[in-house]
Parts: sequence; structure tokens; C-alpha cells
Amino acid sequence: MKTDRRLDLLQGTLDLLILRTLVNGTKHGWDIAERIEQISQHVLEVNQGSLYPALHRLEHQDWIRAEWGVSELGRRARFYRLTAAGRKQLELESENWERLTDAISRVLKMA
Amino acid sequence: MNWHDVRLRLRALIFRKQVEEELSEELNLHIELQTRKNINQGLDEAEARRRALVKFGRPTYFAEECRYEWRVSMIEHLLQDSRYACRMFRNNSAFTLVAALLLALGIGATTTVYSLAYRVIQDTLPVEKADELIELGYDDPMRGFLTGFSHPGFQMFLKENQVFSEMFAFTDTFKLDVTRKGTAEFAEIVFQTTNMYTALGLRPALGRLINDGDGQPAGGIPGAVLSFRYWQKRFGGDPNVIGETIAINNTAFAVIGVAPSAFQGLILGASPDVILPLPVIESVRRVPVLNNGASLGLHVMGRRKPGLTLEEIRLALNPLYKTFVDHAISSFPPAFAGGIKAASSKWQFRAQEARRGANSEVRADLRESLTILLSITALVLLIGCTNLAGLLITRTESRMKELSTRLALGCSRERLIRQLMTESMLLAATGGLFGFAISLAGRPLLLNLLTSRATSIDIGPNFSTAVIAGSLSLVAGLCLGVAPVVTAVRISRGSFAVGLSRYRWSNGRRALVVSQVAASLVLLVVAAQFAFSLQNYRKVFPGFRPDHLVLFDVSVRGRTITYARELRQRLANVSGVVAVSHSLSAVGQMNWTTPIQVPGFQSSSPGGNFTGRNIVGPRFAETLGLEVVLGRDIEIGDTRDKPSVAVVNEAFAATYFSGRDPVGRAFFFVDSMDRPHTIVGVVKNARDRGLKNRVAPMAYSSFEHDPLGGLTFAVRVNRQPEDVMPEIAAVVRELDASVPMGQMRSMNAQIDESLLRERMLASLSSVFSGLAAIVAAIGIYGMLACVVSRRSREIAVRIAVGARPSQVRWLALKESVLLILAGTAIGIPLSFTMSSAVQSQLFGIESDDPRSIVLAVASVLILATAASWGPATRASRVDPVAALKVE
Repeated sequence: MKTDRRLDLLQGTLDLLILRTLVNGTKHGWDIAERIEQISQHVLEVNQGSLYPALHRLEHQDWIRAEWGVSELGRRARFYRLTAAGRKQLELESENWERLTDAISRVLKMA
Repeated sequence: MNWHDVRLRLRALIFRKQVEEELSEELNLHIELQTRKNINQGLDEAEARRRALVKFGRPTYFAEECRYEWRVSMIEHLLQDSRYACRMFRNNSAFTLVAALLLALGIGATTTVYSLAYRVIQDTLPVEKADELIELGYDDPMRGFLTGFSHPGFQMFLKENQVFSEMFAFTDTFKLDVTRKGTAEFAEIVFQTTNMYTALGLRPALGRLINDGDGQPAGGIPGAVLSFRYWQKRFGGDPNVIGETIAINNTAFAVIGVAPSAFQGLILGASPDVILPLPVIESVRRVPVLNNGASLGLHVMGRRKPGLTLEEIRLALNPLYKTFVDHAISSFPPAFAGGIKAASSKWQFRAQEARRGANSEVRADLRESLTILLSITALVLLIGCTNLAGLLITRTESRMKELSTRLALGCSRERLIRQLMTESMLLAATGGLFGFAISLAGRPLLLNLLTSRATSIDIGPNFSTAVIAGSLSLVAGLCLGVAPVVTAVRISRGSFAVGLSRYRWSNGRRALVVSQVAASLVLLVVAAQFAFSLQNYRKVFPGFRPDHLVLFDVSVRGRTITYARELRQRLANVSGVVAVSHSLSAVGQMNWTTPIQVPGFQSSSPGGNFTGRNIVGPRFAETLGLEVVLGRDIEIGDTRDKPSVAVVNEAFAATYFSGRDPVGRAFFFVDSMDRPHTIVGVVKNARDRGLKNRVAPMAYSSFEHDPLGGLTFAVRVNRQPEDVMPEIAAVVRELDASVPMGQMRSMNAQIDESLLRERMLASLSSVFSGLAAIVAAIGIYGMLACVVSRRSREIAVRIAVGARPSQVRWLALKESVLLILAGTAIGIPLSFTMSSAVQSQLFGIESDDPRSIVLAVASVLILATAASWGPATRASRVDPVAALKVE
């Protein structure tokens, strides 16, 4: 039953979510996945693996940077941090996202 | 792309191993953390791990996706694919060798022909602003584009034209003797207006080039420029050559400079060795040119002023052209004037682009041969490629298991396609590389086969060859890649169980076989036609006996008659020599037509009466083996103090004496109206102008009455001509070493050379078509063998239930026979098209020559049946028990 209420992520929204979760400080991959799941109350549940290509893509765009740190298990983990460019990108994309959802909900209400 | 990105990419590329480890560490940690979370929620470890993995998805897949984000995957994959392909090639070395060889031959042959064609037909002149150059001439309905102008005519154009910023003129090359330090040799001499080098913007390789100063009759020795090649060949590239004195046709010249190496004259195939200023032409050649309106030996070119079209130039110059023609007509002796007037009334003045050089017969000739060869080699390449495509399909299908396994293990279809593409491209690249090597070696070889003027055409290795070989390989690789890729995509669609049991040929492969059969049939037909055409030339009776004849040219000055008498005598004493005579030009190479007047004969054509003419020594007919049908040969007794005599051929007698006995009658050559020539004999018609030209009226006048310095000696021997040649050469040198001697050859060699192009087209097209047919046969064999092995189970069942071997064999043969017949049916009409395209090169052969078609069809059918027979027989011998056990 749970699966029925899961939403497919729109193209590019995963990037937005990752950037958003990193606003409050550095996180490693699993942490980010957990965070998205928790906050979305399991509505947005993706194959956790797909997070990593996205992370690497964002890193290449220099919106996030990775540093090695120590994880909960005491093992080495890659911690991602938002860059200034990433912050700007987040603002831009959030704005776009709001405009889009706004428009869609208006259409849904009025049409 | 930002700097950070570049840094990351480089890191991923260079520290590959470390980056990989980091990635797997990152992914592992994630799964580890998730497992830990699941355990904390009360699951046992195995279940916790399983759920973590399910939630994560396939780690290998996401790792690959991450690699993709690093943007190094392209290069990585390429390297991986290439390594993999190399491994495949090593494991299938026989296949790889055949494939690379096929491609190398096809690409090599096509590149050779194409780059040669490009050099010969397309290359622009290495001069300043070549695209401004325009050549003037006039179209003759019979003889094509003519480019002869008189010097007075040129000067009038030069003075009065408004369309050219520069104008210059030059002659054809003349074979004259050049004496250096006492030794004389023949060389090609050109005369050109003194402004030509300046107008072309050329710089000397050494010294200086001819300029306007060289035109002044200021006294002193006139200057001569050497071509770069001649400077290298005869002067050993000696930089101290400037100022050296050489004699050309007995006139002294001082070497003033060496022409740039890239510039070999304006006429392709007629590059000069020595370049002289036009004003000296009369003292060197001893003929009136400079003020002679009737001497139409100058090629005229100009640099157009910007913005003018060819038509504007033509219109602007047409009045000047008319004046030139009128002047030319009025300059001819009255006997000629009528002919010139009649001819010129049909001429149409024309200006044409000359950025590739002046009008050249060699170019026109080569263009035709090269175009034919290019289509032939392109067809060979096409057959090679289709064949290879067939082989690749077969191989891809036999790799189905491997490919399906790879797909099942998570290899993306794109990656699979890329892998197959890489293999084809690599194969094509290897073939291309070898093909390039073949073409480098093949170009000079081919050029020598195509034209006797090969040495005067420069074909250094050039950029275009590499470009052509490269792009051909690329195209071939792409085409080759398509076949296995399509197969692979089919595999990835269907399950591989279906793939294995599918035994019928795909339509694509049927089409490949049909097209190979059709293409090789076309090639075979054309090859047969060239061979028959050559045979027809060989069958032409030359009118004389060509074997056991030695020919050589000498150029004597002054005491010509004594020299000729003395040499004839000395040669007659050489052992093995049967008869000696000489003529102005060798029989078979004659091209002199001259006007005559025959008392009592009224011309019906307005141009007057003409005959071919040769000036021959005593016993000429006897030496050549020309049969005297009436009267007698020219004899030793026909000396200068006796009346002038001539022997004519049957065509002459038929034309001017209506077949009545002409012996004892007289006629006049228009250039010596004071002295009648009495006909003393009639000989059979001979191919004086070569096998390719028709028989025309011909007069052989006696040498001692018209002694000209150029002599071609004909020596009939009773041994192998090659055996006597050294002795003959020794005798000639012994008599007078200062007389330059041209190339000594046998008459048969001369005839062979005159058929150079025909022989080349016949032999090359036979080789290529044979090759194509064999390749096609291999293709048929390979595919049928594959079909049989694929159908072995079905065949086994048939045999098990009682099919006879002949029935089984027919079952297999049926697969190929239909395709072969279809290919033949398509090939025959195509061959009509191809052979009507080469019609101009054929002699005595119609484009639908039944012999050629029958021969070609028979060869195709025999080869194809032979190729199918083996696999078909194998099918009939399938052991049902063994075959059924296999699956």
C-alpha cells in the first residue's frame, strides 16, 4: 500500500532536495537519503543508489564539495558541503520550483 | 564546465584506482549504515543486508552512473573497448587478417586512384592567385578546345584588351638537344613571354627567373632557366650552375636561374626541362614565329580583373579574336588560306578557367581512365565492405551467447553497441593504415601504367592521400559497424533462445549477397570488354611487320645527308642486321599533315587537298615490311641530283587518282611548288599514325631531297631486337658522339606503349574484377557454411526420416542459387550502364557485347556454385545421430 503513495521524482528535483538538505551543514550520502525520507515522511522514496550519481554530478558542477570525515561507524565517509555557488543555485531552483508548483496548483484549482 | 570540474575529471582519469576505491568505499558505507539501521530495527543480519541492498538498488549500476558523471567514461570505455576488441582480434586472427586485408585492398586501391585523380584533375597551380587565371582558345566541332594563337595575335590581345591585368603566352615543349660540356642530350624546351614568371608571381629556387629584361636584343648570351627537376637530374643540383654556358640546338645560353620545385609548367604532362624567353625562339628553332601570323603555336593566358565573368571576358575579347583569325588567314600561303578559312568559320572563341593549368590532353586522357578506375575500385571496396559486413553479422550471431550474457549482467545496450562499433572502427582503421601504405607505393606505379608522360607529373606524398584514406576508413568502419549492431539490437530484443534456433538468413544478409554478385558481375563484364577491346587492337594489322624492328632517334645538324649515308652503311655491317632505313618520324607516331596539289584533281572540299607525309630513306618499305603493290621502293639511287620522288599508299592513290595506276604521275607539296614529286611506287596502307587512328592518304618522299635533321632509324634484324641494341648504340656513338640519340626501342615496344592505357585498363580491371568475384565467392561460401551449420539439426532430422543426400544438398544449394540468380539479373542491366560509360575507351566493342556478358555471367555462376558446393555437400553428409546429440 505504501508503494502506491510514493512519488516518482521529477527530473532535477533530486538535485534540489540534496542541495536543500545540505543547507544545515555537511552530511554524507546515507545521511542525506535518510533526511529526505524522514522529512518527506516516506513519500519521496527513491532507490538510494540513485543519490550518488546526483551527488557526483553536483560535485562536478561545483555546487557541493566533498571532504573526507569520520562517520557514525567510525569509518571514513565522504561529507558533502554546500558551496556559495550551490547556495545560489538552491535559491534559484527553489524559486523556480515554487513558481512551477504554484502554477500547477492554480491550474488544478481553476480549470 | 568549470575549473573545479576539470580538476575532478583529471583526478578521476589519472588517479583512477584511488577514485574507484573511494567510490566503492562510499557506496559500501551507505549499505553498511542501512544494514545497521535495519538490524537496530530488529531484523537478523542477513535479512537486514538484503533489505538494505533492495533499497539501494544495483550498486554496480549506480557506480557506472557515477563514473558517467565523472565524464571520463568516454575515454575509459574507448580504451576498454579497444583492449577488448584487440583481444577478440587476437583470438580470431584468421578472420581479422582476412578482414583487414580486404579493407586494405579496397581502401588502398580507392585511395591510390582518388588521390592521383585529385592531384591530376583537381590540384590548383602553385602560383599567386591561381583562380584569376584564364586561358583563351576556340572550340572546334571536330577537335575540341584548341589553344593555338600567333605571336602577332597575342601582342594585339596584350595591347588592346581591357579585361586582363596581366597577359602572357608560352609554347608547347619541344624536344631539342641540350649540349653541356660536349655531351648532347634531348630535353624538353619551352619558350615563354618574358613577363610570364612575374605575372605568375613565382620566385626562383636559385639565381633569377626570366624577366622583361631578357627580351631586349642587348647582345651577349641570352639567359635560360632550368626546371628544378632538370637541375637535379642533369646538373646534380650544383649551386654553381649559374652562369654556366649550355648550347640548345647549337645556340649558346647562359643559365641564369632555377625554377621553383613546385612549379612544373602550365600544361600537365608537358613539363619543360629548360625555359627560354620567347624572343629567342627563331634563332633556336629556325622557324619564323614572332612576326608570323600563320604560326599558331602559342598558348595564351591572362589574369582577369576582379569581378569579371568568363562570359564578359569572352564578349569583350571576341572582336580581338576575330581580328586575330583574319590576320592568321591572310598570313597563310594562298594554298592553305582556304582550308584555314573553312575551319575557322566553325570555331567558337572561348575563355576558360585555368586555375589548374592550361588545357592538357594528358589531363583529359587521365581523367577518363582515372574515372573508370575510380568506379572500379569503389565497387571493389563496396564488395569488400558488404562481404565483411556479412562476416561480421555471422560472427556477431555466433557471439550471441556472450552478448546476451553481457546484457543480462547489466551491460547497457548502448555500451554493447559502442563495443561492436569500436571493433568495426578498429578493423577499419587497421585496414585504412595498410591501405594508406599501399596507396603511397601504388601511386607512382599507377601513374606509370596510365601515361607515358608519368615522369613529368610530380606526385609527392600529399596531405590529400591521408585525408582520403582516413575518411574512407571512417565511412567503411561506420558501415561495417551497422551490420553487427543491428544484429546485436535484435538479440537484445528477443531472448537468446529464440536467436539460437533462428536459422533462416536475414533479409539484410540476402541483400548483401545479391549486391555482391551484382557488383562483381558488373566488374567482370567491364573487365571482359577491356580485354576484348585490347585484343581488337592487337588484331589490327599495322600494314608492316612490327617484329624484329629496332627504332631510335637522332638529331643531326648540317651534314645530314652524309651522316645518314654513313650510319646506314655502318649499321648494315652489324651482324644480325638485315636492312636499315630511316624516316622523319617513326611509323606509328607520325602526325604530320600537309597540303598538296595534284594536277588534274579537283578538290571537292573547300580546305584543299591534304596528305600525311613522312620523309624516308632508301629501301624504307623493304625495311619496314610495307608491301609494294605497284612500282618500286625509294632506292639508294634517288639522290639529290635526280628528280624528287615519292611513294604513296593505296589510300592516296584511291583518293587522288581514283584507283588508277599513279606510278609516273606527279604532285606538289604546297611548301615546295617549284619541284614536282614523281610517284614511283604504291604501298599498302599502314597505320602510320598509330593503331588507334584511321588510315588516310600518305606520301613518303625521299630523304635526300628534303633532308631534315630529325631522323628515326629503323633497323630490321634477324635476332632478338634487344640483343642487337647495344651494338647498334655503340655504332651510333662511334660515328659521332655529339649527335644526341633518343630512346632505343623495338617496334613492338613502341606499339605496346601506344596501347599503354588499353593494356592498363584491361589488366587492372581484370585483376580487380577477379578479386571482387573471389571475394564475393568467399562471402557466399561463408554464409552458406553458416546456414548449414545452423540448420544441421533440421537437416539431421530430414536425413533421419529418409532424405537422400542429393535432396539435402539441393536444400542447401537452393539458399544460394536464388540469390545468385537475383544478383545476376540485377547485375546485367547495371553492366550496360557501366559499359556505356566506358564506351569511349573501347575499340570494336558494343556496350551490350554478348561475349563479355556471357563470359562474366558464366564466371559468376561457376564461382558462386563452386563456393556453395562445399557447404552443400557438407550438409548432405551430416551425421544425424551426432547432430541431434549436440543440442
